[in-house]
Parts: sequence; C-alpha cells; structure tokens
Amino acid sequence: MILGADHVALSCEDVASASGVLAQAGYRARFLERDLPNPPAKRAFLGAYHPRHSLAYCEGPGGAALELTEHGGALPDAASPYQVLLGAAPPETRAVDMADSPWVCVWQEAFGCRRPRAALWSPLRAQFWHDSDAGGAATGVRALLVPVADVARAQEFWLSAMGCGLVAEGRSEAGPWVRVAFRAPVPQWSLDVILAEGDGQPGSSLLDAAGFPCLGLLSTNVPRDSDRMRQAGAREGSGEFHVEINGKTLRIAVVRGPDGELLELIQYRG
Amino acid sequence: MRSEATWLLRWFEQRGTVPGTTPEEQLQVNYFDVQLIDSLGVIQLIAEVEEHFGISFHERHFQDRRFATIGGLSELIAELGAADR
Repeated sequence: MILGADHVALSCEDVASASGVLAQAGYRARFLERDLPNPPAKRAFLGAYHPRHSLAYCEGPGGAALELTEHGGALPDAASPYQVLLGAAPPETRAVDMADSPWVCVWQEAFGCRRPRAALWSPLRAQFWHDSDAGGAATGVRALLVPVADVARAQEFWLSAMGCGLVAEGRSEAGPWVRVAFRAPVPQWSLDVILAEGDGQPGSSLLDAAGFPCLGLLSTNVPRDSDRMRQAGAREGSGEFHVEINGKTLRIAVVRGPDGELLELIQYRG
Repeated sequence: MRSEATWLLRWFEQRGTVPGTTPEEQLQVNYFDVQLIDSLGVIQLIAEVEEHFGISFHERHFQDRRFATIGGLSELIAELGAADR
C-alpha cells in the first residue's frame, strides 16, 4: 500500500548551502547526511554515477517535504522533470517568462491558480511555479504537474498502481488533464498531482537532473507496490535495495512511470 | 468493546495517554489531531495491525475517515477480517 508522498527530491550542488537556502524559505532540515553510500542499483537512473551522495530532508511550511540530493558534479541545465507549484515564491528567485507555456492554463483550470507564474530558484537552479495572486501564502509544495503523452493511460497508472483518488478532469487549450491526489490522515503525506497532455512527448528524467527529478512515496511493502506499478505500465525499476539513513533502515526501489517520471518507493524497516 | 478495539487501545496506551475518561470517549479520539502518533508510528501501526489480524489494508482504507480514530479503525479491521473469512 502506498500511504502518500514522503518528499519531492530537489537536486543541488552542495547540500549544506542548499539547506540554508531552504531555511530562508521557511523549511526546517530534519536531518542532513553526507557521503552516504549510493546504491549501484540506482546507476541506470543517474546521468553520472558517484559511489557517494549527500542528502538533507527538509520539512516545508505546509505541503510535502523537499529532499535535497547532492550527487556530485555540476547540475546540468535542463527543464525540471516535475513541474512543481509552490505556495509562494521563496527569496532569491527571479521570474521566468513562461507565458506561452501550456501549463499556465492547466494550473488555472485544474488547480484554480489565478495568476500562475514561473520562476527560477536561483541558488538551486530549480524552476518552479507559484500563484502570484496568492499573496502571503507559505512556500510549501502545493502540487505537482506531470507532463504525459496519454492522460487516460497515466490516470489508470496513478489510480490503480499508486492508490491516488480522482479529484477532477478537464480539457485546456493545450489538451486534456486529470487531477489526482494522495489523501492521507497525515497532512504532509497528502499531495495533488496533475497529469496533463500538451507539451509534446515527455522525456525520461534522471535522479541527478536539475530541479525536481523524483517523487518519494511511502510504501508498506516495496516489492508488492513496485510489482503493482510494473503491471500497471511502469517502464523500469531498480529492484529493491536497502539503505540506512538517519539511523533507520529503509527498503527502497526506484521506478520509472509510464511517462518517464521517477518515483521512489520507501519502506521503513525500523 | 470488540476485540480489535481493545487491542488498538492497548497499542496506543503503550505509546502515550489516550485522552478520554471512558473507553467510549477514547474510541472517538482522532489520534492524529491529538498527536498520539507520528508518521513513523503510523507505518508501525499498519504493519503490526496487518500482522496481528492477518489482513491487508488498501489505499482506500487509509483514506477512510474512520482510519483516524481507534473505534473507526477497529471497524475497518473487523470488516477486512470478515471479508477474508
């Protein structure tokens, strides 16, 4: 069973300084770990494999946590695989002209944003969206948008394999969309996800891509959930591996969804 | 009180004080609202309930409002157990 969202990954070049950037935006680092072993099973999901990596788990002011990941090396210039909507623009951001993006009308219609605006979180080289009319809102993660090739197929995957509920569906100028959601009694595990056609064929993301490359999900049984995802159309998976982070043993699998999106299943083992 | 509720009440009482002056009141407490359990505790609760009662939860059970109270969760467990028999 997938319980909900654990975190959205955010790539960085230095986890300590990036953690400071998030602190300015109201995030609180629950833990920061340097030079952890990087399981070789993740190699196929990385642009450049390094045997060590660092991460910091930062809880936001509302919404899912952000997990800073430092894989070593410079971040490549590339669009963020997940389009992320923050409640407000954090400090040290600058506007990006995305007025022609198909996602503007999708954010408006599927999520009720009045004035969706794209911006670059400069120190992290991460592009995100925010509603410039939602003055005073916290900077937490409000929703994700996943570009998909076929909304019907993506909906089937996110409902049947991921356990999301259907919230709404519609069609924008760019194409059809559906809004699904993880709903959990633990508020920070709840997350809205919009699946939308309209920007050509989505590409395959990598764990060390700039921006927000992966969605972490809490699972009660990683082998069972990854098998369910494979049967529902996931493209590939890392297989199960174990890591120790923050004093806890975790059972993990990285899965690539039908539209190239990266999903990390996480099971606490005590 | 059904056996599932008794087991759950004992499980929560091992982790903290369950508010309420009677068992009936305790069964209605939203254990998330009173912070009787954290996120890791939820995962432990699910694992131990599944193992003890021999059931498997589905996402729809986790999203059920009843999941948030001891009494409601005991109903869900009883329903799942009955369905499996």
